[in-house]
Amino acid sequence: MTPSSPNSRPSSLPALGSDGPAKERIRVMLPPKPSTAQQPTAKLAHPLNAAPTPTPAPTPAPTPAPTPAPTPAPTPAPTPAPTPAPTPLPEPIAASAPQHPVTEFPIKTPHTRRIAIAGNPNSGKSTLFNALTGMRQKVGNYPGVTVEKKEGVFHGSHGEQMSLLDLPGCYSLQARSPDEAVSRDVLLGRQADTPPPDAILAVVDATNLERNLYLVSQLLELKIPLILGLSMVDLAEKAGISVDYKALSELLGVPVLPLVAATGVGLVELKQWFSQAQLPVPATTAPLPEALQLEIQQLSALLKTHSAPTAEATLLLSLAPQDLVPFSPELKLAVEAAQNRVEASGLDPISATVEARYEWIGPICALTVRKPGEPALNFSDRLDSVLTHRLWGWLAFLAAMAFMFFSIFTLAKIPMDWISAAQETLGNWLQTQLPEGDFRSLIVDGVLAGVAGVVVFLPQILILTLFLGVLEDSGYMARAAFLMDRLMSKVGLHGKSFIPMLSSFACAIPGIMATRTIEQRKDRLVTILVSPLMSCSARLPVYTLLIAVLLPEVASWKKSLIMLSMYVIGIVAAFLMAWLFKKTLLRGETPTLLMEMPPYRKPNVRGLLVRMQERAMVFLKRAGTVILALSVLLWALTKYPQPPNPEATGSEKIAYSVAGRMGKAIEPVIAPLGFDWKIGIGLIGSVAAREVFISTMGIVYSVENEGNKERISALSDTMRQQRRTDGTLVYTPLTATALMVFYVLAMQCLSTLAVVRRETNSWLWPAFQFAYMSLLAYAASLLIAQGGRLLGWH
Amino acid sequence: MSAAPAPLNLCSARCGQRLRILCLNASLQECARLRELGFCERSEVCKLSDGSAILCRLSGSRMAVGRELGALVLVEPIAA
Ligand SMILES: Nc1nc2c(ncn2[C@@H]2O[C@H](COP(=O)(O)OP(=O)(O)O)[C@@H](O)[C@H]2O)c(=O)[nH]1
Ligand SMILES: [Mg+2]
Repeated sequence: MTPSSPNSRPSSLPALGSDGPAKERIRVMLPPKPSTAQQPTAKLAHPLNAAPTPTPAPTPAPTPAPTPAPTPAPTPAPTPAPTPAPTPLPEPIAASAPQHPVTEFPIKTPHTRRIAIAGNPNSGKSTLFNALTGMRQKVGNYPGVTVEKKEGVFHGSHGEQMSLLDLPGCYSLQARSPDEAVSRDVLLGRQADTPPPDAILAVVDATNLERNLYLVSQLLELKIPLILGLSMVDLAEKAGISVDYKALSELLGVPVLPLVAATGVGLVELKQWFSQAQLPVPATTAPLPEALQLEIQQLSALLKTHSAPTAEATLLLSLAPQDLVPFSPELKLAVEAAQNRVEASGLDPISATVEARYEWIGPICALTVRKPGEPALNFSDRLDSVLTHRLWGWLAFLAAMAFMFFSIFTLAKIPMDWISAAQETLGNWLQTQLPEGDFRSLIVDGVLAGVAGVVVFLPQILILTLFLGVLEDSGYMARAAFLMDRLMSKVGLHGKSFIPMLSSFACAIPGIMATRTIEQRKDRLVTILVSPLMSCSARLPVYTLLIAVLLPEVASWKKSLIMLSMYVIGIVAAFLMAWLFKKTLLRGETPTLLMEMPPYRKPNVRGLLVRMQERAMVFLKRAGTVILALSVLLWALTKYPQPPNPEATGSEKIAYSVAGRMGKAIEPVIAPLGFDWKIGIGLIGSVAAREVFISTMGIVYSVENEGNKERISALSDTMRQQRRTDGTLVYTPLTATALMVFYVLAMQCLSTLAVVRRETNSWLWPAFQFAYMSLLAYAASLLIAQGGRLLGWH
Repeated sequence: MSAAPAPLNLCSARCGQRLRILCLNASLQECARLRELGFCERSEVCKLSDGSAILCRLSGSRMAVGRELGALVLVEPIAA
C-alpha cells in the first residue's frame, strides 16, 4: 500500500515512529465501531492514492476551460486530464459484507471522479445534489434527514461523468450520532465500502457562516481538494447579510462559489471547477496551538497508512477518555500520553482545538460578513413563540393531530367509496361473466377479495403521508421534538426520539431510519424498540374495518374518536415501554437535548407529491406482489383440501382446509381473547404484513359464502353477520376492541423486523422486539376480553 | 456557585434577553458538543422561548437546549 500520493497528502511529516512495525500495527488499530449498522473500520487505499499514474483522458478535453470559479483557484496549466489507472480496489482488511448494498450506477469508466457533498444539516446539500444529478430524492427539513447513502451521477463541463455522494449532515467530524459517523468515516477513509472522495463540495449556509465554517476548518485538514459552495445566498440577502466571497476565498485558500440550487446559479462554474485536470489541495488550515501541533504531528506519524493522518490525529487528540475505549491499546496509550503532555502545557486537549478553530473563524467572519445590527425577530422567531409555547404549543400540536385524524376519516371517505363501488361492480360483473368453478373462485374470492380489499385504503394512507410530509418539510417536526422534550425526559429519552416516533405514524421503517440522529446507542435502541408501537398506516385499514364492524352507521366523529384512542393506546404503550427499557435493559443517563431548529419553510408541493406517489407505489406494489401472492396462497389454503361430503356448508369446507386446520390449531391460544379460528387464520396471515388481515378475512368469508351469494357485500357487513356455532355474534364490541388493541401492539411486519436487524446489526433485537410486542398484545387483548366479560360487557 | 446574586443561566434568564455566555459547567463531552455548535465562552445568544426546553438564537441559527443542559450554561445579560 502506498502510504501517500503526491496530490493528496503532504509528504513532509517527520516520521517519528518507526515506520515498518507501525504500519502493521495500524491495520488493526481502529476498532470495529461500537455502534450499530456501521462498518468495521478498515483502511482502504483509494485507487487514486494507490496508483497515481497519469494516463491521457479517454475523452480529450482540448478546450482549456475558462476560468471556473469567480476566484480562480491556483489552477495548474491545463494538461490532458491525468486519470488514475483503473486499479482494482485492494481487499478490505477486515472483510465483511457491506451493511448497505453498494448502489450501482451506470458509472462507465472506472476512473470517474468521485465528489462528496459535506456540510451542516439543513445547509442545502440535498437540494444541490438534486440540482446536479437531477435525481429525485426526499428533501426533508429537520436536521439530519439525509441518513441514507445517496449517490448520483452528473456530467462535468466536458461531458465527463462524475459521481456525487450526498453525505449525511454533520456539525463536526467529531461525530456524535450514527449518521454523523457515516460522514466522518467516509471522509477519513474508514468506511470500507466507500473510499474517500477525490474532491469535496463543502456546502455552507451563508446566513450562518460562523458555525458552518467550523466543519470547513476540519475538512481543510483532510487534504482533499475542496470547493466551498455558499448556499442560501438569497435568504442571506433578504436578511441584509452580505458575504464578501472573494475575500473569503482568499482567507480560506479555497474557491468559494455562491450558489442558488433552485435557479441553477453557480452550477456551471461548479462543474467547470470539478472538470479541471488537476484539483488543487487546500493549503490553509486553522492554526492550532503549538503544543497541539507537535502532538498531532507525532500521532499522525503513527497513522501513516490512513488516508488523512493529520485529520485523524487531530480528532483522536480531542476525544474524551470514554470515547477512546474502542481503539487499540497502543493507540489509546499514545493518545492519552499526548493528551497528558498537552494538558501539562496548560491546554485542555478537548476544548483547545474547538477554541482555536473558532478563534480562526471569528476574524474571518468579521472581515467577510456584514450583518445588520441585532436582527429583528423574524417570521420563524415569531411563529416559534407560539408553537413552542408551554400552553399554545401543546394546543397547536393537539389541534394538528386531531385535524389529521378527522380528515383521514371524512376526506378519505369520498375516494374510498368510489374504489369500493368499483370493486363491487367489478366483482359482480366477473361473477356473471366467468364460468362457475375454481377459476372464478380464484379470481373473485382470492385475487379480488384479497387485493382490492387492501387497495381501498390507499386514500387514507395518502392523506396521512401528506400530513406527515407537511409537518416534516415545514420544519414543524423539530418543534414537536422540542415540545416533547420534557415528557420524553420523564421516560429517559430526549425530544429527538419523538421524531422517529412521529414518523412511524406513516411507517415504522423511515421512523427507525430516522433514529440515526440520536447520539447515544442505548437511547437509539430504545427508540427503535418502541417506534413500531406507534400506529403505522398499515394498521389504518385494520382499524377502519374493525371500527366499521363495531359501529355500522354512526357519525364519523365517533369513529374518529375510537381511531384516535387506538393511536393513544399505541403512544402510551410506547412511552411505558421506553421507560421500562431505560430502567432495566438499556439503563443509562437521560440525554439532554441539543438540536438545531430549522427555520419554518413552505413545504415544496412537488416534493410532497413525489413522496405521496412513492408511498402509493410501495403500497400498490405490495398489493400487486406480496399481497397478491399471499391472497392466492391463502385462497388455495382455504379452498383445499375439499371435504369428501359435497353437502358440506361453507364453514365446514373451510374448517376442512389447510388454513382452517391452522386456525383451529391456534384457536386454543386465542380463544381466551374471544377470537375464533377464522380470526386465527387472519392473524397468521398478517404476520407478514398487517393489511393482509383484510385480504385474509375477505378470502375466508367469500370462499365460505361461495355459491350462495348474489352480490359481494362489503367485508364489514359480512363480518358483522358472522355467528359462532352457538348462534352468538363473532364480532361483539368486546371482541372487535380486543382485536383492534391486538393490532395496535403486535409486531406484525416482516419488513420492519428486517430493517431493525439491519440497523442494530443483530438478530437479537428484532427477535426481542417481536417477542415483547407479541406478549404485550396478547396480554392487553386478554385483559380487555376477560376484564370486559367480568364486567358483564359483550 | 455560592455567590449571593444567583448567577444567571440559560434556564433562569428572561425570554427576549440578549446574553453572553460566561462558562459551561457541563461534562467535558457536553461542553465540546456545546462549543462545536457555537455555544462558546464569550459568544452571544438571545433567549427566544422557554417551555419544555429552551430555544435561543445563536449566530444565525435557532438552537433548542434541554432544560438540564441549559441550567449548566452560565450567562450574563448584555446591557441594551
Ligand atoms: N432559499 C433557499 N432555500 C434553500 C436553498 N438551498 C436549499 N434550500 C432549502 O433548504 C431546506 C434544506 O435543504 P436540504 O437540501 O434538504 O438540506 P440538507 O439537510 O443539507 O440536505 C430545503 O427546504 C430547501 O428547499 C437556497 O439556496 N435558498
Ligand atoms: Mg439532505
